[in-house]
Amino acid sequence: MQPGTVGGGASAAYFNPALLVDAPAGLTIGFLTIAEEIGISLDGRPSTSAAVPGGISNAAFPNGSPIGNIPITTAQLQATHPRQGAGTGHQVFAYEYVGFVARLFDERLSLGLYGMVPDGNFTNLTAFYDDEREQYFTNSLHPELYADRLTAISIAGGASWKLSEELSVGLGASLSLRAGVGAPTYVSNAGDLAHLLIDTNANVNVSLSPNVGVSFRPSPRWHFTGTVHAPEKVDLDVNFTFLLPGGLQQGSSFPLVYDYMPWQIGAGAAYDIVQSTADTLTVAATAVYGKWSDYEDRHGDTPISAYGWYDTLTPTLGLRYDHDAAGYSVDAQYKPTPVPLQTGRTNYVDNDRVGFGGGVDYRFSMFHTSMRVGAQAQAYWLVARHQAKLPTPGEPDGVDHYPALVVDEVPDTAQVGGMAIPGSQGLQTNNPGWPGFGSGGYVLTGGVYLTVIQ
Amino acid sequence: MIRLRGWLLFAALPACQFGGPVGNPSQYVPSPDAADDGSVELPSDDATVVEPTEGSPAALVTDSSVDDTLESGSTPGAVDLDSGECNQTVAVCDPVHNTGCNPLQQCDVDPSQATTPTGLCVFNGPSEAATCTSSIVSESCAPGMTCVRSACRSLCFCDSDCSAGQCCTDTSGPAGFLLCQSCE
Repeated sequence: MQPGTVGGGASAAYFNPALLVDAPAGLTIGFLTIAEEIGISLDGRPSTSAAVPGGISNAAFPNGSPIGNIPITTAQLQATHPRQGAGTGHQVFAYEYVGFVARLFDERLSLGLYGMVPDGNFTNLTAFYDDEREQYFTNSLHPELYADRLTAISIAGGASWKLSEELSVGLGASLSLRAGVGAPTYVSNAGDLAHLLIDTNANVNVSLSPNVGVSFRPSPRWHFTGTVHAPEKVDLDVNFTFLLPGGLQQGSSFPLVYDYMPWQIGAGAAYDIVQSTADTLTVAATAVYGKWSDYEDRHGDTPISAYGWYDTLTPTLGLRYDHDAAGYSVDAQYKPTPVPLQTGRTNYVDNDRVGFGGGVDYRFSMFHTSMRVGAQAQAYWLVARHQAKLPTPGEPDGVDHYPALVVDEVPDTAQVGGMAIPGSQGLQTNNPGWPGFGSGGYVLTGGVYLTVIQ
Repeated sequence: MIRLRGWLLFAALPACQFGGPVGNPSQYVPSPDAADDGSVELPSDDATVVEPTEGSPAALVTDSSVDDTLESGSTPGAVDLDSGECNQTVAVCDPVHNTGCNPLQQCDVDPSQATTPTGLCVFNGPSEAATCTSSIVSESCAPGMTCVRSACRSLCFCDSDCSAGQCCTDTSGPAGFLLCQSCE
């Protein structure tokens, strides 16, 4: 939640590399924990009329063409994978972080490196579908912008050059991954899939997402900043092939996208209300424009235009107070969700977010070495919201004429063995978000750090 | 407290959203064309040879061999398609009766063979749309059928290969094979 206009520490390598000139040279180590409690409540299904009937594994249109992905019988699905029985959003994460700032060339050049590593898994990459296709997996909804995204790789480096006492520019980059996994498979017996022969070919490459920043101090009291962050994401390409004894081979590939962050452009201003030898009181504000309309979900899909995501402007307001060796800070932030109400086929779960943060630090000297110790905490409230699905009009010709709405997974014209399917009239769906859902909750963070100043 | 609320209101003031959804999600989307409505396209009553339009899938597959084969019936290697002749031999596998492939696959018409009726073992893969799709490795139609101009059609060699009320007289399908159509 850093306003990004006040020099902090090595984390400026990511937030605004131009501010590295204001960070004390030295080494920072810290510990951070994040607890998310995001609840998702699904509306009850009103009746059994929308349940997928049994015995449709061979369902097809009258002309013999298949109806698409055959849905699972609703009663069976509820018994084996109950709705929201495998949801996410209630987790605690712990991280260690380390940062380093160095000064060169008469303190005109500052270099910074900052990395945050989660305890346990280095990173979690969890994919799920945001529509009825998730019935085949967790049959649940998941927070779109939290959960596994809270373990995204956070390693950034940057450099800042002080052009003058008033103006500094910075260039940084954050680390992303690009991986490919191939799985050639030999199926010796289709009835005995437990004895597949399989190889894997995996490769992991590193990609960098650049960011630039500028810091301008036109007067002793005023301070302006600007940042631009290029999109970040983890790309994973999955390729698999099946080879059969007859020599026939079939394969497929698909992309997965994790931890997508869009273009972000930020601007900030800070003003020292009080400046004295012992006290400094600064008010700071930033606004970050996020181009979330380019969002790619975990299966590499961009939300359809009828439910296209918003670009957002997120303001943050903060106060900094330094008194002798102690510093205090408070921040407030309001982040509108980029996700429109999900009244159609898709179930992207997100909420408007209100955040408050506070921190304290204290500078001291020990063993002839200057140090700074600090603690910070933030609380984010995810404002509850609810959405009800729009009704899907009847489609007597069996063609999906309303692709933005909840899909009728058993078309009215579907047949099995030339016979109409009882219970196929009207909407049948296993979309876990139908007929509606709500979400809300909170995210808490807290951490401590120690900086050894050079 | 009032001052705090004022600061929070000030902080939230510039928060906003841009762009977002475009169009009415409940808007009716018509089928791309009539053949995409999932219905079977029935040829005209006179059961004459349907001239494939240039550039259509059928045109790519047949490329004048249909007319030659069906009208003369003497193309070397081609099966005799006179109605009632059911003792046809097809290379590789038989897409009409779906024989000759392993249990994981089904037999479809090999589109790369325009002169000799040839089958091709493919996987059955569902189509996302109501229309059918086929490739050299997959086919979305049921066994015994093939994808002709975005619709699944029953393949046949003779009337007994078709269901009741259907006759094996439609010559608009892939080279070397007939399609079932209404006997009327």
